[in-house]
Amino acid sequence: MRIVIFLFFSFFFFNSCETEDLMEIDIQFRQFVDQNQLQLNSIIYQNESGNLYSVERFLYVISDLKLYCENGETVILDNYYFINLDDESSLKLKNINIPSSCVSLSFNYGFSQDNNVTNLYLNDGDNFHDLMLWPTTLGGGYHYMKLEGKYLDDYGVQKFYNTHTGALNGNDYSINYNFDIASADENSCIYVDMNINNIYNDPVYNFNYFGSAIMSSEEAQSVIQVNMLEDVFSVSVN
Amino acid sequence: MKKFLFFLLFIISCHPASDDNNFETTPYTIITPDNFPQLIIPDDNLLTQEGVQLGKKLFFDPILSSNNTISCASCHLQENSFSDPNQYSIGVNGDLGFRNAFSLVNIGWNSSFNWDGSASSLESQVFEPVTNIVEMANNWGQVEDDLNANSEYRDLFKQAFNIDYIDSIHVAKAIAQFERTLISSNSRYDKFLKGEVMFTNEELDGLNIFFTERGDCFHCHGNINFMDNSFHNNALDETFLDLGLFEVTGNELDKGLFKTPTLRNVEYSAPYMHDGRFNTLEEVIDHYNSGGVFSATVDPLMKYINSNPYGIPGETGLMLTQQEKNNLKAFLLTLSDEDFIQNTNFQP
Repeated sequence: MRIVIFLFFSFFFFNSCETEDLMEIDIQFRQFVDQNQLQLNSIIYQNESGNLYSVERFLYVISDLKLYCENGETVILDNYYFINLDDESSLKLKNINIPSSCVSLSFNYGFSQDNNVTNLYLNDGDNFHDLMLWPTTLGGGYHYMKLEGKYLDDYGVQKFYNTHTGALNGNDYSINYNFDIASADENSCIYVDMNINNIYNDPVYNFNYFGSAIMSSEEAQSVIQVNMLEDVFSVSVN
Repeated sequence: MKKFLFFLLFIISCHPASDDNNFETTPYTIITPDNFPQLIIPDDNLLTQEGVQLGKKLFFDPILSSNNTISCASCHLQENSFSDPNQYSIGVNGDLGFRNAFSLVNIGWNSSFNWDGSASSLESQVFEPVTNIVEMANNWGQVEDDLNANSEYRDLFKQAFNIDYIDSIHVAKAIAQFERTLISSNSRYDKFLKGEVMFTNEELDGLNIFFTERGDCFHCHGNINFMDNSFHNNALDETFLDLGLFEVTGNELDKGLFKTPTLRNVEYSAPYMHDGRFNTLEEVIDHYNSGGVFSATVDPLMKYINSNPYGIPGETGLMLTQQEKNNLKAFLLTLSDEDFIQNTNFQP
């Protein structure tokens, strides 16, 4: 009997210790085109090449997400996050425990090579493997991003584009980002925002030039990577 | 305090126990084939030898139909990879359905069922054809009465599930258990992945067409089961007689979307598409090579409806050469698994 009582109170004691002094924050992934929140299925956006385009499907991977706290600790979150606009629950990470206020964060767009191995996520949820696999014939691993929609060609004809990025031929096109943030503490929400239009800007990306399919094009993969280096992602805290 | 401790001890000492301590079943073990994910098996319907055998008996027994004339196997024939060679299956009253019977090969790796995704588990899928007026046209009350009047079934359900009264839930569980055993993993493609065979040059070229955007088959048929557990409008029609996924979700964007079928054993599972409109693989390849037709919900992956990979004005579609089409077909034929088609474990 004494053992049972001891175990019972031990359970509550140790559980309470684990959560003591931790703060909870959320992280939300938002998608914009320039200053406007993304509106799907309308050919209303224009890149610097002058292409008018729509967005119909958008899926991407954020991996190796880390939060750096004032007390020197680093909070390492799950291996990757699969953001899928068809799945609203994928847009927000809730109730992340941090030991003290966070002052910066880092993450990868896509996967680093070590984490981008064919079948590595074979049994993961949210149908990730099936939706994001990158064929071994093209280097293997997983898509970093699937951005799809329509654009108007030079004659005003609607055509489709599939901006799919990944480790073509084993080349690592993933990008690591570090952002200093205003202190994030109890009940803060960190917004990780994307400006989709800048995926196609600086240098310019022309749908008419690259065509509808770019998975086999190292030139296109490189241009997209360069475009995404600086002004696609931004981070803020509420 | 004493009452509380008693309650605590009660909770700690409680554990699941069967109603009958003598009830035992023999686990049915499925070894996950190389490169396959774990089979989807619900915790409340683990596979047992008794359950699988019972499910097989039910699958082949016309007792489920209103006039005892058709069984599951009537429309899901093993030689056709457990699909129907007819465009539409014929129900008990001679009525025709309006969709082609879905192939059941490797069905256990699916996360939704039926062309429109109307069932979310194999167990729930079983319920629909039994009562569908153009299929078995029965009612579950009648099915339960017929099965409970049969001493052999009473014994088999007792052995499989330890139940004294046969109900629809356990009928569905048994059939689902059998269906999960319908596994093909010994095709020429599987042997190629394991390094046991070499592909011909034609097959290799077909593989490259399939798994690159040259043919762009892989975006929907890219996993080891050659499907993506998802739904697409693959540019078959400008307007829809069958609304597909929309019938389930009510979402306008889902009009004309259908579940991606597996391509395993595609050689045996003609006719093709949700409505069985294509009789040959050549017709299927020609459809995709043409680019298809535009509609409001057409999938962006069907990207050559209005264009082509080479930017040639006026041309649409993939622009595969005849040799490339032949090679693509040669690759598709490597997905055939003769062992599966002849496996006696799948026979009554």
